[in-house]
Amino acid sequence: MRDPMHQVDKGVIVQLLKSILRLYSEQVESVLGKAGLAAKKLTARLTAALGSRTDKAGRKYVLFA
Amino acid sequence: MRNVSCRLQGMHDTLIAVSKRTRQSFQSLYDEGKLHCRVRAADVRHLLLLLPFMVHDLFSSEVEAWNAVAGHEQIQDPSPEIVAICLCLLEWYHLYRRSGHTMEDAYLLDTLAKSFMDRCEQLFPFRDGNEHLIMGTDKVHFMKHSATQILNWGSIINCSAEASEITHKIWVKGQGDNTNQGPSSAKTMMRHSQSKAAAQECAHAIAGV
Repeated sequence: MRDPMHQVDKGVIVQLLKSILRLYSEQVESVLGKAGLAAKKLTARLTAALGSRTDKAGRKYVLFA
Repeated sequence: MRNVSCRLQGMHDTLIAVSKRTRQSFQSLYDEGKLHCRVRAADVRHLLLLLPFMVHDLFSSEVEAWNAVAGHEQIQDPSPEIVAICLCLLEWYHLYRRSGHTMEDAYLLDTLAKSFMDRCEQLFPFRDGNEHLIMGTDKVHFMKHSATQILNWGSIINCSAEASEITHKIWVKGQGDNTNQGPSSAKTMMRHSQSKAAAQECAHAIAGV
């Protein structure tokens, strides 16, 4: 028997991420002529939102993961 | 007023801890077509939670600038549709992972799964090498049977293999970390462990134990 919880996490969600990248590639990147831009922008957004940093008020956000 | 606005600067910061490898998931998927081996199922769940915020208006400025040029083919940023489909999956997932499902929950789960798959078919009409829809995999199709599975097993936690998988990682694969060779020796150690067990069984069989 398959582990249904595991196959949703690593199966459905990962497949959705791949499909999103494919959609951006077909609809936007290919027209703009900038292959891989969606992956770059999403990585930059994730890093900006979740990376270790110090904000303007001097508070430090540190990741322990 | 300025002090208040300074204090509120962090109000939208998330407290979800996401590792460096997880933050590079999109790049890994683009470059290699798969996630890094260190990205766990829990990390992927966090990605789903963040996804609607991450893709929000991702290409709005580029698309606007492109469409403003005369003679250019008009394009649309698909981000709003992607956000909608992510929220649909989140709603299904939240209900799916909850305990104590009722018959109404099972019915709603079924309806949400069908709605998600229909939306996927419309938004991602692309096909793979075998002419199957890219979101038409076995694992995605399973969502249609999740309600039946919950009715059969009482709770989805009853068919989770997470505990045994973690044990395998710690006690079999993890042993490789204790050597000078690092994680790369994990497979060698597993093979060694297997052949040791096989030799032991063989010896027992010869001895007639």
